[in-house]
Amino acid sequence: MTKPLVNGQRFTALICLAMCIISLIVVIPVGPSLSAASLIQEHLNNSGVENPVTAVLLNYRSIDTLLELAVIYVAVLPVCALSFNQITTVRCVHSDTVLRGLTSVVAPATIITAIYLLYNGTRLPGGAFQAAALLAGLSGLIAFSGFRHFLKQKALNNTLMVSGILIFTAIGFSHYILPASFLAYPREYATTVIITIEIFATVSITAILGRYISALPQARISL
Amino acid sequence: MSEQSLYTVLGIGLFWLGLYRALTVNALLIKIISFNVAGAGTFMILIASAYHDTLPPDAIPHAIVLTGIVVSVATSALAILLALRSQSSSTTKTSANDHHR
Repeated sequence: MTKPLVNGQRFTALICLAMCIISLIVVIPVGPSLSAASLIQEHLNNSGVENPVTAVLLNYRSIDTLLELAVIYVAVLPVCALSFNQITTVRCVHSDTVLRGLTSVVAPATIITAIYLLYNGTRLPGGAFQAAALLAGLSGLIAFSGFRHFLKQKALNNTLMVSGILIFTAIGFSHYILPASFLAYPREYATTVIITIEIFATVSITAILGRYISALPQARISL
Repeated sequence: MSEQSLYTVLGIGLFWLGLYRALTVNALLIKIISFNVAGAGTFMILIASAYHDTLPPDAIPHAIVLTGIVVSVATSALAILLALRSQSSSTTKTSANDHHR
């Protein structure tokens, strides 16, 4: 491969190195910044969960999580348009026995681990995103190993992909019955509400990330 | 040197390394991976900023990084598909038809 831009590359390297040194000089002397960490610890009893990360994600800053679900759903639309497979036609090109055997062994263990991670999210590190990442990996494995994909019905797949946003928004609006604001949960229902949102967010993120994986062309993937 | 500054320095290095490679390389797939490396650098800086000597770690950077990872997966998926499509349309028609089979 020829390299016609050697001088340009040197120039870019010089600028990147200079910026790297400048950012090191700027960052290193900065002490611990004043943050909301103590505020989170103080109000953790009122959030309905014991894990501070879950409390931030689904109670204090739940609007961010809702918008993030919306972002990954919006990204699904161009992915579907550019996709190399419909999810209904995902099938095995490399139909080797090893991959199928591995999938049938890994699948139950992955599902159990994902449920455990999801349930753990209220107390310990874990939650919707980790569980959904595991399940999306499993979804990709199923798509490429030639098993019947569990999201083969298009209507079911579309429903699952939007379910997270719909349920989250519905719960957010449901508290306008009381004099409260959008996504403000009453203290006594907070745990139930958060677990409900987490379950639907997991399902929705799994379907969306699984769609990203199954959009890849099969002929280019060598196993 | 404490762990916090070590991870911050490594994160900054990773960010500029990834950005340099993304700016100079021509291959689209390597460009996307370089942007992901740069993103990993920013995640490392954020996670390192959550550390505290005595108190439990700050939860807000963790939540931001958790959100950011999922969004970066979405952007990479879209970018990879765009790169593959632009490459497959620039090659011959027969190979483009192969993908639709």
